[in-house]
Amino acid sequence: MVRKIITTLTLAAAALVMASCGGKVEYADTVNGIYYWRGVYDLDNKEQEFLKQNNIRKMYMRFFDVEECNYYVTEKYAPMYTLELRSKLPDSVEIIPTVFITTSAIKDYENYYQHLARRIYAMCDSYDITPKEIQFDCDWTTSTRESFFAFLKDVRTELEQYFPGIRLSSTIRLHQLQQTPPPVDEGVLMCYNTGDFKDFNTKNSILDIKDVKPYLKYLKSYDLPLSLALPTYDWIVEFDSDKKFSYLNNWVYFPADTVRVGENLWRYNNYDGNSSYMRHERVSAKTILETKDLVQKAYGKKMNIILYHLNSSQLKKYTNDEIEDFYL
Amino acid sequence: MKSKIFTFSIILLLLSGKTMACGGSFYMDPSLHYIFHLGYPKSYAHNDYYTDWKVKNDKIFHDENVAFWHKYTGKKVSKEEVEKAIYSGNKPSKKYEFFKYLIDKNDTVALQYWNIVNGDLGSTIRWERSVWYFPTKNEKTPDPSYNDIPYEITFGTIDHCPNHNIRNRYALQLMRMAFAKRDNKLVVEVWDKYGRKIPASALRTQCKSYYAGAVGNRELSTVAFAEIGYFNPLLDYNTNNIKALYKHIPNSKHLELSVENIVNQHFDNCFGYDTTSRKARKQESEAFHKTAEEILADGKSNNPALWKSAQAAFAYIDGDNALALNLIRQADSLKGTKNVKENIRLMRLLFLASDTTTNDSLYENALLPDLQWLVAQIRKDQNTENGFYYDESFWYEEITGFPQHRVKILRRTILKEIISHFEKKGRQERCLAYLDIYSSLCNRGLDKRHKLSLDYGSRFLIYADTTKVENLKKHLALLQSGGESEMDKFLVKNSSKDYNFLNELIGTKYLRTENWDAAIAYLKNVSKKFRKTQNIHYYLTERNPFGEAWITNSRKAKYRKIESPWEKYNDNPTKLQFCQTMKKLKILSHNGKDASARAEARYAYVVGLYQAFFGRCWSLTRYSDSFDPMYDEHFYPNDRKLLSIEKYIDKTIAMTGSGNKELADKLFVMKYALEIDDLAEYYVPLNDWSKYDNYKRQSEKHDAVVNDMETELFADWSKRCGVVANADYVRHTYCDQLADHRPQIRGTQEHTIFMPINGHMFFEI
Repeated sequence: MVRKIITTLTLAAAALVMASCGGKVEYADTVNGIYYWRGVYDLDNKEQEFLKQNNIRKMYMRFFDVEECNYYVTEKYAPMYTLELRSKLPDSVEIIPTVFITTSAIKDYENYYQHLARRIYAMCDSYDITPKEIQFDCDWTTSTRESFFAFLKDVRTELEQYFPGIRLSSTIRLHQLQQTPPPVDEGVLMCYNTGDFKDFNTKNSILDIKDVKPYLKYLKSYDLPLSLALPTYDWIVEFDSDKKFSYLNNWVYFPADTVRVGENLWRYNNYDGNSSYMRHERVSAKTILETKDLVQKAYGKKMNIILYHLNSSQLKKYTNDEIEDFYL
Repeated sequence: MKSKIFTFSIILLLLSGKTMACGGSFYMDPSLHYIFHLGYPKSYAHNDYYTDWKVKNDKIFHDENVAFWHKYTGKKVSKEEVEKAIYSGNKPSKKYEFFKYLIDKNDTVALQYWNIVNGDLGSTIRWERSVWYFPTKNEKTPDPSYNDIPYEITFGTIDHCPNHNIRNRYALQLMRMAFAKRDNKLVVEVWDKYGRKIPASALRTQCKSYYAGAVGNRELSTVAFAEIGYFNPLLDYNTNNIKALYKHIPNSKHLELSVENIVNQHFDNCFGYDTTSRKARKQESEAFHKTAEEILADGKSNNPALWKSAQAAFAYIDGDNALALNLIRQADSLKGTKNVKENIRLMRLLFLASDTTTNDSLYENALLPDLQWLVAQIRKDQNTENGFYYDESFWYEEITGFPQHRVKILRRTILKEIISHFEKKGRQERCLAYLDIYSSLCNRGLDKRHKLSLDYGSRFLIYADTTKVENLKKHLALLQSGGESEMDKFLVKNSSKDYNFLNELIGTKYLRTENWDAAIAYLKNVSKKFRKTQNIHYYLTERNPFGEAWITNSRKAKYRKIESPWEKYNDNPTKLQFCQTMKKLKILSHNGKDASARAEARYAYVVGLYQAFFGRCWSLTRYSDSFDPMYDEHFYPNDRKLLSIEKYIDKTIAMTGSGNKELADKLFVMKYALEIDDLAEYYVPLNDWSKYDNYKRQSEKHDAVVNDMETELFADWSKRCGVVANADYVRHTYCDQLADHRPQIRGTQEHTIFMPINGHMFFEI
């Protein structure tokens, strides 16, 4: 009996040690992150719980977009959709101000990069954020690469005035892997928006492993530390009766009288009597995990995982276990 | 049944509360109701005007600056190089050719100037006015301070500046800095000492804009702003400001805009949500009348009609229609600008239409000339490039001044005044005639195939749908006969003369009363082409009123499969077909071969009734589904129809007996479906008759729960229904709301008189 008790206790202690070690291993060398891509920062209970439950250490918050704006006379490109803070930021999470810049705006960066840096500083000051890292998101291509790289150099000089020793990071889209890495300290590989959502024949524009595979070969030799961003959002892509793209709807809603006509394709009758199509795009947990494994294997080591994006109504479509697996 | 009534009463309570709270279901632009308009685009009152003014002045100032500094270098530095340097936002350095020239010349005065303009302070001011600006924690305090303003340097430099042109520019910089520091006294001092001497130029305009903002005296500000042509700060206006402006510039073009604004402000104060007190309004009127009389007596104005017509507008707004008419006639005989004259004509028509005492013949004779002119003008406007927008549907566009205003005046004249006149005389058919020309002119914007454009958007249809069928028949007769009087002929000529539409309306009215023969007689005259233009066409063709969708709620695909003697209805689904089928069913329900056949016919008949009046086939009896609260209110009387349908079912159940179990079950479920709350979303799958018992139990439980509540509410509902059911009441409410609905907020004036700093984004160099 005594032996039995000792054995049991020993096993229990061993299990405990293993479990605690397992926890440490899980988070020892990687940092869990998430994007916050909404106009207003106001987390609901589920989202707050999500941050705690998944040990989120970094939150990439979209501060504003820089895009063409016809409203202002003197400024062709202006900050738009500025983040508004309505609730307190979590203490335990590092906030990384993130700015999205359109490709047309990046060409004109010389006219605003100083203002942009000052604005980031003002927002951080106002929101009580002391950033260690600032991220820029731009879908640059060969034609805009020089502008974007020059922007990063110039804006770093400006930002240094406000935040000495600041680290810069940049999003890296799959097609950008073929090019020289931007002059930043770190990159975030965006494994989403891999397909053309405007194409009726695209099955899932958010993430299709087939679209990822061709770029994996560039990962091994990519000369920039990378984190990996994975999609946990869904959307509806709407098409006219002639199958031309009409609308991208983040609000997933199915009208009455919708008839399923394909794996993720629905048809419904418009008020004008014509039929329209809706493609509901969502990435399954299986696909996300497969992608994660493929990319990490190609990269050769474990990467920090960042989910896009913090939204309880979308995240609830995955189980807690699945989310945990994404971050593992 | 009672539970249905309960639901209706709740909805009614909610709707009535909503209607009262927001003053009707319409959101409309403030200017939609203004009666006084002098043809300037409404954008004068908004940022667009500021933007236009700024763009124009930016350009002038920019060119003047570049030309000045180019000349300053003896034309040795090109304009392009000068522009590159001075608008770089950078302090002087040899990087720029222009600055290099100044450095080489050792021109300390000019270099110091550029150091100030493009220095830290200059860039701070520029930053704060930039679209990129975001306040830091410290800047959130209302009064930012600029402790490092180099006053001494600037003052000393101004006084010892050898070049008067640069001296003037220094003066501008000092005003700019002082203004940023809210040092209004210094701004005025600098203006008095240096600014006043600057000859007419963009530089002077710049300096004066700061002075106007800082002077701290509304009258002086008014004059200063008027002189530089910037109207926005003048909007927050009162009669004293107008007097001051008149005193300094008796024929300032801004007087027209200021007077227009003050009349419309009075309109807001009288009819807006934030109305001022009666006493304050009276004082406002008296002050304006007094000022106008003084100005007219003074005789310096070359636009006296402006003042007299504004007095007339004040009188009309104050409710003295006779005085308004008298004054507008006087105004017509005075000298005035073209805009003022047209405005007088429009107001005269409106004031004439507001007469409720004269007999109809004299009333219409008085209206005819101006009405003919206005209708012709609107038609002409609609044939121009922007004509598409001169329609009630585009009220928010405000492309230009008068064309939009003409539509608004016609709208108010007919919907508010003429309708009131004839309603009081009980001549609703005449109201229809006027609304017909109004809708055919001004409701063109209804896209017949667009989901947001319901048929119910036409003012004519709103009225026609709730008036008695006899009035519609009289209107049809007028159109067919061509009329007798001049006004008759004018109305007939300008009406839509859409006989399809009228026949459809009349037929539908008969359909609603189950007068199948009369309905068929009118609906026969409706062409297929017309039917296709109706927004309800889709619903008519897609939904089978004899299908049992009332069971399945929304499972269209399933109910289509039902085999029934009325399945062929789908071959040609129209209102006419529906009436013909219903007529046959009614005959069958009396003459069927046996009780079972008769019961079956009755069952189908009652399904048709339910679908048409309460079910998915609402388009047979209505022109809009229930999203429009107004329409719902119109439709509440049909709850009586619900009672009759229920009785009909009871009788049918009695006739059926135990002979036809399936039919008896269906009838029972249908009766229950009529009673259950739609919001409860009960769903009975087709062909699953075994579940009926379960639903029966639910029904009993449901009834028990609501029984106590509904007993109490029923009495209240009956009273309310009695009021709401009165179509005339609804119609009046509707028209009144249209005419006098005012915006909740007057619109905040971002550029108020003392704060041009918020608006100015000059190239301040």
